[in-house]
Amino acid sequence: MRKILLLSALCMSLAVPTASRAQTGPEEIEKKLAVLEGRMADLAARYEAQIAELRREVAALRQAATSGHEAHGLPSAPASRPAANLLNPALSVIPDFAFSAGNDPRWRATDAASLRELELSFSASVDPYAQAFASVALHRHGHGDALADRFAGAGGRAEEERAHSEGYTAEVEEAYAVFPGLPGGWTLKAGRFYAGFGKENGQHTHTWRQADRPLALNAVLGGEGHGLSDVGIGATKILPTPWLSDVTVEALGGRSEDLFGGRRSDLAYLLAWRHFLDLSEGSSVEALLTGLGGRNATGGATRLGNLSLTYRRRPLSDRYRTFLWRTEYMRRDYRVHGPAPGTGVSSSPMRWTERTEGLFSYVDWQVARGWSVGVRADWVRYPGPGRRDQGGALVLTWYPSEYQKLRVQFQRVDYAVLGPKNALVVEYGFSLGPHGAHPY
Amino acid sequence: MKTTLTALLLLAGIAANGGDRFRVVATYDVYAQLARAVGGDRAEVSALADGRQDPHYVEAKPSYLVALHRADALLLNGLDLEVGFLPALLQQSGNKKIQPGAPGHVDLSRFVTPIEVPRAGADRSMGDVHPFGNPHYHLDPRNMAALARGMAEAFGRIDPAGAEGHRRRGEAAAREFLDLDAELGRLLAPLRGSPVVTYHSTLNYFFFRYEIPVAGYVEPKPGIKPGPASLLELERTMRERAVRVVVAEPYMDLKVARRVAQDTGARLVLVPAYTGGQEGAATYGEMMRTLASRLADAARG
Repeated sequence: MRKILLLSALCMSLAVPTASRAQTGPEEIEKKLAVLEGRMADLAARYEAQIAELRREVAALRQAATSGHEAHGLPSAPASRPAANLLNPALSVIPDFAFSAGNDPRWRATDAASLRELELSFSASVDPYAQAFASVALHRHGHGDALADRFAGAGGRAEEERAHSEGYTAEVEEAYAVFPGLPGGWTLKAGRFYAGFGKENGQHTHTWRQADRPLALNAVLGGEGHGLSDVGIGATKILPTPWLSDVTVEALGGRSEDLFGGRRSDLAYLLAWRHFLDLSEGSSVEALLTGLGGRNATGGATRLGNLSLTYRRRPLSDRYRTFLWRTEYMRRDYRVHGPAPGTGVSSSPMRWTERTEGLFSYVDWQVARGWSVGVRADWVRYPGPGRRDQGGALVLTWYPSEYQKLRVQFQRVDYAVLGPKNALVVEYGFSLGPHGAHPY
Repeated sequence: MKTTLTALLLLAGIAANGGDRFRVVATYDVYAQLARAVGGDRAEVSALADGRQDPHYVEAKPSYLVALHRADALLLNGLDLEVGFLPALLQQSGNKKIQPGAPGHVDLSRFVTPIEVPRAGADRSMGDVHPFGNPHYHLDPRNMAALARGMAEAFGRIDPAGAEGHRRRGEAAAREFLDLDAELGRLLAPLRGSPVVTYHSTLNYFFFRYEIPVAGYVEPKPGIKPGPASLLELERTMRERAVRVVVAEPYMDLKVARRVAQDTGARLVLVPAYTGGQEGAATYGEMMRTLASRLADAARG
């Protein structure tokens, strides 16, 4: 109040001399008026700020004083969250349950009903320069789509037994910092993260559109079927094009037994080029071309490529009708540097290339609020004549809210080694915690 | 050769920058319009979402990155309304000028006082609740006046050479909002005290400002799909309190809203809550007048 009085007095003192010197000519007066108007506006802005501040305080006091105010079912109670908690990272807990029936060994690896994964994720700003994200997944022993291939071999029985044993393996899926505003418009990422190999590799289990990962990903990337995640550094730059186009380069530690040797001197390098075009207000197409290469355990080179195409449709005014069609083709050329047969040591070692390639294509169509139907086709070709897996899946998902899903999937895969196998899977999952934005 | 190249690069830089103008991106069209009024010729303004979209469910489309990458200022609603798409976009934007903490990151909610802040903290049992309060504050014209002045101040920091102009235009815009507020107050005076039912809490700032009580919501809780039991309860309340009007934004699930209105003999009124892309909501003034007159018409029967 005293401030307001003071300011008013100031206004008066400014106004009086201007009036007394009014005879100095109309231009002069206009100029002075303009200056005065500016000052008045300045004062008004300051008042507004002070009033807003006071209103905020009054509102807070009023809220503290009154009880029983109900706004859309929000009960009122004294604030209980200690201030220190505000600086804690955002934490999410996301369990995923699967119940399966049928004779497909990929699903038989787990029990008929199991908590196949529990994901814990954390995110927060590190300081004014970086934001960080970490995700730890507890996987049920033996859950992983690479198992199907192993069952074909002699070790299958043992693997299956291990799968049925109790227990979980903890895996750090990702733990990285992002530096979003570097000079030159670069965005830097450092730590452990999913390699930007196509669109599907970086998806966490709870964002999958089907109950399992497409077969091609596991065949081409190998490992336990949890995707290619590695320690490294990545940088992305948006190109000066009228549509969205960006390039990403990554240098990875190369610790992935089925792809790269992971010796200290051998890094794997990734280069990705993305284009995103709006076809209309409600539809778009995204194309991503990725190349990845490094040295493998035999000393030869492993080269991978991926071409990913996504079409999306979502009318602006109807968010309950979305349509997504994604197709990815990927290929791995594994150059084996082996010794000549029978010698062990040879001056001219045998060299050959093992090619694994795969393709998937799926549609996910939201037909009504909370309901979506989907279909996926899989095709994989392993090295060796006639070694080909192909299959398809039909999916129905119900989302009671954004934070829960119940999914039924029927899948039939014709394995090169095992022949045709069927599986009926029911998946249930929910998510606790803030729903952060997912990558588009 | 080098000189030519430098000159070309310089020219390209100037062309890309559009002379002296600074680039503003607003998450919603309603703030882009205000930015045009406040920034005048000095600001080049674009918006991410338009009025046909549910503001809660804007997607993090990569094409938005083109504008964000080049922006000098980002105007956002704040109060977590953009939580589903903006953090991911900001992280990928490669633009330090608009990151949180930078002068170009203008969270407009800091110029207003939010209502419906859950004091016990938020919990998902309350539905998709906004933990920092109701984020649709633009529906009170007095808040828009405060925004106009706040925005002018923010623009003055980003574009000091034009600060005086921003302040002048901000003040003029603020006065217009206050005049609009008085006009709407007169128009809605007959509705004072007569209860309505609305779909979601989007319009609550408007209802609170003009003293129109909200008897209930079509959604049992924010973002939760209504079920038979919750609708029965709502219809009972409507009959008890003689509610004549059900208000909804066009992007809501209108089948349910229509049925509620039919069952109780009330009128379903579709109103715009965000500008852009819809009939009767090209500008803020037009939108608010449409909103008020449709309500007044429905109440008259």
